[in-house]
Amino acid sequence: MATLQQREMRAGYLFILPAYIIYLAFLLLPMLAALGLSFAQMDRISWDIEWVGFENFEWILSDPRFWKTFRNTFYFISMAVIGNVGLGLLIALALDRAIPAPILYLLRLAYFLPVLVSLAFVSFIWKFLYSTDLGVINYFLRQVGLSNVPWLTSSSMAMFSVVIMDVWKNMGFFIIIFLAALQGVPRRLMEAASIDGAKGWTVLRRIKIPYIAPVILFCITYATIGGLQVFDSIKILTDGGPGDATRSVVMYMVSEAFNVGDLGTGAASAMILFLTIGIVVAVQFGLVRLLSFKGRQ
Amino acid sequence: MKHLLSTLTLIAGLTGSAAIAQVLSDETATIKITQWVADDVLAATEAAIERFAEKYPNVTIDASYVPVGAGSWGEYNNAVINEVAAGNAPDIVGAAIEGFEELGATGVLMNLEQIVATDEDAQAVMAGIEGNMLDGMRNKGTGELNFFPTQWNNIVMFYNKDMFDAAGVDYPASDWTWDDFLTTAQALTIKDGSGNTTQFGYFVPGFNFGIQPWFFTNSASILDEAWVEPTVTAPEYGESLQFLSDLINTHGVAPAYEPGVGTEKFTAGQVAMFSAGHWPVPSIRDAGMENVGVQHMPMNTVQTTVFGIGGLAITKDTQNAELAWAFLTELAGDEYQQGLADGGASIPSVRAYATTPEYVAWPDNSEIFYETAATALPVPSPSNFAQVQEISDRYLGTFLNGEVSLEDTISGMDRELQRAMARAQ
Repeated sequence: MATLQQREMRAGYLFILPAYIIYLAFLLLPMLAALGLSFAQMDRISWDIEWVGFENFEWILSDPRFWKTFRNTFYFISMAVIGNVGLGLLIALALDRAIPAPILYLLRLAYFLPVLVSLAFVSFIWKFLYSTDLGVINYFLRQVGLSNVPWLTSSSMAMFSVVIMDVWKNMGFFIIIFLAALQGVPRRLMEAASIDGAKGWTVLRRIKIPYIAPVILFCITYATIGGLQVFDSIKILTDGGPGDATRSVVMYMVSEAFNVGDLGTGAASAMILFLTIGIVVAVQFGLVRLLSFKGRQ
Repeated sequence: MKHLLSTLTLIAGLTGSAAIAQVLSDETATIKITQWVADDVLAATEAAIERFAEKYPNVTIDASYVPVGAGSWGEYNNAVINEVAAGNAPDIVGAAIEGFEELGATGVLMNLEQIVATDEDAQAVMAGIEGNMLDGMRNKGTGELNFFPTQWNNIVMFYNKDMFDAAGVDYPASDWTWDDFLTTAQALTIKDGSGNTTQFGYFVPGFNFGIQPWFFTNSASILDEAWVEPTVTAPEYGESLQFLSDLINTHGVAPAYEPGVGTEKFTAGQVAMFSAGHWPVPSIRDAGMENVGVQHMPMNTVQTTVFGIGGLAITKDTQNAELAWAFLTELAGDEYQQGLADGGASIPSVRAYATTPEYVAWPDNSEIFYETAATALPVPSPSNFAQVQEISDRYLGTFLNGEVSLEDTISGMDRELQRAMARAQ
């Protein structure tokens, strides 16, 4: 006769079983398959498989295009994190004050609305806006006497244009998170600071930012992981071009696996990306722990 | 062996019951068909399903459609191959010529040659199609006829006659040259007082199919005739690229290169000419433009253009080969051809439907659409088409926007294409 504790434990395992089956079927098994594929050459149709050891990794790591896509991805991440998290934080701080309710709601809605719209849809609209000779943005630039900006047609400009759209699209999400965190700063802390004579910049630097530091780090981590997986917006806006100027690691991975039909190199690049995400997240989580520890001291 | 048996069964079935389509069948089955997303394809398929249901009331047609973004047939091919690879192969596959070799190379498609030979209706369709296009349908590697023809398209020059009239420029002649074209495009390019261009003469096609005539009319191509060896190092290929680049970067008669056909630029009055097939005709009419003409592509060394043809194939693993063929011929038959002609988005593959007075009534000079069928060249579509298209798009994008020199473009393309073609063999 099982004890109550054992029966509860069994029931608990049964409750989480469906979620684990889904996890196994759709996440863990494909990941293990990708790991296996990264050491093999496989025909998509016949499923003939040949083990090639580290050959796929050697091929990728010696392909300058792979490194180019890696640089592109990290450039995108750095700019997108600064834009989404940095600008998002600044706007959240600006909104975290006594503003008439209707205006506050309007501003929040204005910033959050792009988050709700389909990325594919807005990408097409931005593509039209960005058109060099026939786009709306350059039309207005010309009206004020400026020359055309090659938003999507210049290698040096295209990724920045992608970042602008990404920040416009996603910043609202981070604003809402920061606003919630800022409004969670204890009132007593703010009152005590006020009594001690602390004003705007000091309150921000000594109380608000330290208090929401874990949230900021969460947002940086979240934006970084999203940046590492960037695909759809670039696919629609530039398809990775001009040349490889905006091609991300994920686009390279998809191209190798499905355009070239080389599932092995596609899987190997996925493994390298997976490892990179793991390292980046570990570093950021380490920072969170470090800051939390310092905060407690 | 199983595949051979299914083909033989299909042939036996067809010869055994010549009037297969006339008999109300009580067979029960589901036929899966995968095609690309296009208004005319959807409408024709729905109509064919209704007609088929009258003859085969217990057969369900499960139609699915895959989008083709910005003329990227490589992505469509990949989607179909992935469907097959996942063990979810449809009974019938639709594809454009860009997919004939790539899908054929998977070895999952039936050879329809013998089946067509035993079906009088199918033979009648084949007999009504230009021999040049039928040659383009056979797999270059195996010689097999994997696809039964449905529709086709080529590339011609669309021009806004109102803009020509306003600029006092003669409409293009059928034998116009690249020099004539440049002079015309310059005359049609308008700048405002500040020097900003308000109307461009031409839109350089930002899609693989559309740009091919600029190579073909200069006796150049990305690959040799067998679609095996890259030929981008030929001086004519570089000359074509330089001409297109000069239109944008030197003469300023075309806007910056960007992916796309340019139809919306044409209908918005931003460009006076653009190159496309018959498919933009409905949208140009919908935009309210009436005064539009078409002309052959201008030539440098030879007058020709590109063509691409669409078709339907049956997969070898189908459990219902006879029914699949019955639906395929229903879909590609007379009603389908008439539907294509009525819709106007593609050119019916059968000459009789593509040359009626109604079909060639608009835009002006529409006779040239079918006229080119005898001489047009098939779009290079090797068995690794998706990869070749990706390489070409990538290099053309940087070169045509003046980012990379012609020499670096040619050498980079050649290096990657050599490797890609060697791997494909």
